[in-house]
Amino acid sequence: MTADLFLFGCSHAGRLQKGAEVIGLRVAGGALMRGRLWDEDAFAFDPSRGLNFADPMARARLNAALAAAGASRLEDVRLPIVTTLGFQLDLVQDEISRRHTLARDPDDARDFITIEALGAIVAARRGPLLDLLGWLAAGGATVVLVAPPARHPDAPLAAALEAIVGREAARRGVRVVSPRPWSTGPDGRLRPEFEARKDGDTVHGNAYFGARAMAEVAEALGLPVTIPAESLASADAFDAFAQRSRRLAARAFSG
Amino acid sequence: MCRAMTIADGRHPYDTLPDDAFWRLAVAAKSPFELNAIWRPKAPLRRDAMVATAGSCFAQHISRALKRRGFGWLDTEPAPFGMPPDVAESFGYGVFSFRTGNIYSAALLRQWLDWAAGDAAPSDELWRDDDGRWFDPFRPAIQPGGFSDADDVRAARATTLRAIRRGVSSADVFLFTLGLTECWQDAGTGEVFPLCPGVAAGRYDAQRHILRNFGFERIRDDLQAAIAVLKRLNPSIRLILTVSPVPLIATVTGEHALVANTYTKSTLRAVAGELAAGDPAVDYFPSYEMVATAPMRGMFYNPNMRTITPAGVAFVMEAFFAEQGAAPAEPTPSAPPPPASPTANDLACEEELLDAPQ
Repeated sequence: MTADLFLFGCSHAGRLQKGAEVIGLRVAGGALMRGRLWDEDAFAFDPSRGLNFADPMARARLNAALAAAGASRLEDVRLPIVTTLGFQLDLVQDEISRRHTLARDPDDARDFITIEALGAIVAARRGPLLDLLGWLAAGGATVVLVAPPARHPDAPLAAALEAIVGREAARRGVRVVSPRPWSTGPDGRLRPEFEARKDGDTVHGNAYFGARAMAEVAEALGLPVTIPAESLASADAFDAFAQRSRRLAARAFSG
Repeated sequence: MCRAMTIADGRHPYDTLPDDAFWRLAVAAKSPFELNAIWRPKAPLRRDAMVATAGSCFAQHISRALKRRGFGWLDTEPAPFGMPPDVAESFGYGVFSFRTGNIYSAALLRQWLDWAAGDAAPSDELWRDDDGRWFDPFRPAIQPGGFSDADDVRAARATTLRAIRRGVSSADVFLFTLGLTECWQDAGTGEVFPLCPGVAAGRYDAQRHILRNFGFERIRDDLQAAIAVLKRLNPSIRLILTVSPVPLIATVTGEHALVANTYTKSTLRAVAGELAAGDPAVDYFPSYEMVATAPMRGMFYNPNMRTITPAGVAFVMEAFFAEQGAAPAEPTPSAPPPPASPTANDLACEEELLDAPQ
């Protein structure tokens, strides 16, 4: 199989991968390790040495993904690179919002925090990951960063952090795709039709979310998709299309 | 008069004094490192006491030492989660117990406390630079690069005022380091600034921004008023006053810097002494004497004769803790300590902005 793009990142990349498959994008790679592990010094990036993981599982997954893309190192990948890395701020958001708020509300018992202070936190916590993406972009790769679904109860904080990461990524030559405008409800959280309800998962989007996000990525990269536009218009239409595709695939396999 | 004090049996009050009352025995005959019991606190700091710190740059050494020794240093406006310590410090977090920035003068302490206690409405004045960034005139260096919005300045200040109230209400001890007598004041409102407008932010207006070199009475009155607010918010609070041994960095009085500094430190020392003598809840810790006086031979100053060497800071803090009963020693670090700054410029000290170009 010749892949259309190389995908790597946290668990959200897994949903993008599923969505990509349904809409006809061929993907090399996928999720390498859980997002919260990116918070724990689990990886090392040095421009002279590239990316390395302490976790053998993540290392093995990266190597397998690279092999599928016909490369031995990340910087040798010649496909457009799609990633979710840089947005793994769930833990940071949780902790910040316990004591701090962007709201200028005198009745809020939490301390006020400025956008600039949030920017300094993002720079400290996500700078190395964003530098990695910037390094790939500077090396000639087309790098697209896809934001995860909005899920944090402090919606203004989550939106601000996402905007800061997006701005910093763009500054490093990385394209940013944010599903927030079409996937976020009035309450600032993921709309129900994009929720992965299975097993009570409140973190990830569903395959429909992944498909919509990857359709945007495909559009940004000029890649063709096989799903009709009307099948992306609603979750029901998407599910019907996905079921039809699975039946066709099963029939082709059995035949 | 001396005759009247003579004791009938031929002895006099000096006969019964301990050695440390005599300069020759207490100071001249000793190495500076042998000076002992230079401070006799009115009440030892309990191991579980919560200490709030504020003031000039030197107060930061005290807060750091309290933390290292495991004493309760109050941080009622802690840095947001995820902000590295060096970045937090640049935002004024963790430097003093609240994010006021340096409070060099008694008048500025009084002003912050009046605002926090609701005795006076916080100033409406904000500064905006040519790039549209906003600054708090009363702590212009608290946010690197300034604020993006005027309402952010107000919201951040409201948070700090709340943190002051919280801190003062829960502190067992309020430790304040007096730094300067010179102070810039708005001629119209009477509000005082930590720095001359135009130095860190804002624009200097000679008609409006007036230099005040406060004297003993004004400083004493400001401190007494500040202490009254502290006690009202927390009747059981104790105070420790210190005078920073760090000389002023510049003077606008027309005096030579050395002469101006002597006036500054002498005045602050005298006020602190009078307040400590007259109020059982107020103590004076002689950090100034342990660094800046003749017996110390200037050995605790860096070559710039201004900033204090790490050894000097350690010497002062050792004396602070030596009289605190069962105060634990500095823990032995498990890893080599970071190299000590030769100039101690790792302190957040806005006054440095005044330094003359080399």
